[in-house]
Amino acid sequence: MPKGEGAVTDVIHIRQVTKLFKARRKSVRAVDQLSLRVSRGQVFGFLGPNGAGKSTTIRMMLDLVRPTEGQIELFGKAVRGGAPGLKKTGALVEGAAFYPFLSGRENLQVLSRTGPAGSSGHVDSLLEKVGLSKRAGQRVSEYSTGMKQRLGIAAALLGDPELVILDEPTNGLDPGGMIEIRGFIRSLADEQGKTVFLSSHLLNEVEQICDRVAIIHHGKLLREGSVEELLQREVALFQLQVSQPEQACALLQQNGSGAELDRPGWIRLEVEASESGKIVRLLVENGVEVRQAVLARQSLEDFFITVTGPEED
Amino acid sequence: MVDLVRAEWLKIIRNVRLTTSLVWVFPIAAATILTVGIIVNMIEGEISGYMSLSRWPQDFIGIWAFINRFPANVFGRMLPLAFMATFFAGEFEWGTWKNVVPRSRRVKLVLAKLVALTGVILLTLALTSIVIVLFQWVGHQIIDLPYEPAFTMAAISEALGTYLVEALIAMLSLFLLASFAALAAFITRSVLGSLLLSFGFSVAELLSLGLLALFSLWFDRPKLVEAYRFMPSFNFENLRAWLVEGHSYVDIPFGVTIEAGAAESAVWIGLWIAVITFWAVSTFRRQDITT
Repeated sequence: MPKGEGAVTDVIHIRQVTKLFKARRKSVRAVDQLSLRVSRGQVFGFLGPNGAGKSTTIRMMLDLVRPTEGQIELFGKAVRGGAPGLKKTGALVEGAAFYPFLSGRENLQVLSRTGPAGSSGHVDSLLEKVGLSKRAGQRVSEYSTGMKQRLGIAAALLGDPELVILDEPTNGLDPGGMIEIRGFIRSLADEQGKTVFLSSHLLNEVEQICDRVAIIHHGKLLREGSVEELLQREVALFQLQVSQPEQACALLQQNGSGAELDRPGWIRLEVEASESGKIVRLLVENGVEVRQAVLARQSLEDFFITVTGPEED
Repeated sequence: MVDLVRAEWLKIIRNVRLTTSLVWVFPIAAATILTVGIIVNMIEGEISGYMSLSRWPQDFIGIWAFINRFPANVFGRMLPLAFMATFFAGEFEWGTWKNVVPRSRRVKLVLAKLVALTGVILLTLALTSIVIVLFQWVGHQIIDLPYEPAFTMAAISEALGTYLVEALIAMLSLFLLASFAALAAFITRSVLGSLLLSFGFSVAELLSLGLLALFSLWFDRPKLVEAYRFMPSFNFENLRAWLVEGHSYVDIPFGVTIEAGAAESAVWIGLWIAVITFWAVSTFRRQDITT
């Protein structure tokens, strides 16, 4: 990468960021030495169980919370109040919150006036895009959770930002609404070239719409990569129908894999998905006929549970 | 900055319940009380003492005593203070700081709120003074009593001059109160906490003379009471006395005498506003917004 290219292509650059919260003489490490880079035009999924540090990371990206250590850059500039990077960023943070006594439209008007100049022009078109134009004049105190969430997405798009940060954007939406909003989020990157940083606990959502994914747990980054890369790198169940199951098992065991007999005529073993071809080749080269091979790929959900472990109480 | 103030203005004006109960209550109460007074006068066929004594310049200017003059301001400041504290702390309770903070500098956000809150209360008090004069005039017309002095250019001009000075003192006083309210909100992050703390600030400041007098007796240090010259309440009264009456503040309770010029008071008022505003802003700037 040529010198300086990172500053141009990386919309988000999180460098070794740690956040400690002090509460009653105890210090809680919400985020621990987290480093991430997000390139322009990506839909980046940020996954983690509850309390993993996702929202704290997002708050640090928006200068709502100051990192204890490390630095966050948006568009190549360190995040500070009023920094140019923040002016090009829209966000929905941890559950939409609005002034209950104002209507949906008025809430957006208030926000547009606090934001970069000239951002107030498209309030009505945003309300239409998120399906709220008919209820725009109604007070937010009368909105359902899903409607507030839609308004939150509209608020994040005020000022036509280049970077859109969405924290659990489909919370409270019905299944139809979820599909609609996911399509809308994907279109932000595909049709408008925006970068989307999406935090979610809905793994199928991330699998469907994200180009890259980072998984954090206890504030630490566990994995990062494209969904395909992450799933390929992990162990999958490999089932083979072979001519001589006992011989095949012995051969694979000699080669260090834990193959075992399955139903009649079948063996099974756990392999990295990318290694499955080598296994088949080994058997064929040693005179074992392979009749069928089934690689049971993990879903992102299986993968997520594998890397984060079972849920703690 | 203008857009930020407009945004704050919209939030204030559209929070009808809170604004009506804590701010619009001034003109509403004035109109109600004066209407009842007029009706009573009409029913009884007698002119009440208040009406026969009232003069329009005093009626016009009188409302500012709720902010500027001791002891009326001990209670007069309560509602505006509650209003300001609720608006600052409300952002924590509504969870809305997280929406507005990334969009603008925190200093600007706080200053815009201070300006808008001070402006709304000033406007309400100005409206109240107009309501008072209007209703009194109507009352006097109904019972055929002259509302003195005559509305001549000279009388109007003199009243307006005093009115503007009183309004200026009230504006500075309200801005300082708003800064107290902001500080209380940023420290406590709750509506109740900020109400209690800002009331505490305000009452302690207004009653500081009593405390100083008590301490000077207790420690047998008569000069100790003169430390009151540094307090905002003394300096607001003193500046007002110089600008309106042409002499220093002489009605200090407990027979205390403090000689201070208008410029000295103006400097102390400026310092108080600057220090409390800076304290509030710097508290907010260092704060993590986690709600």
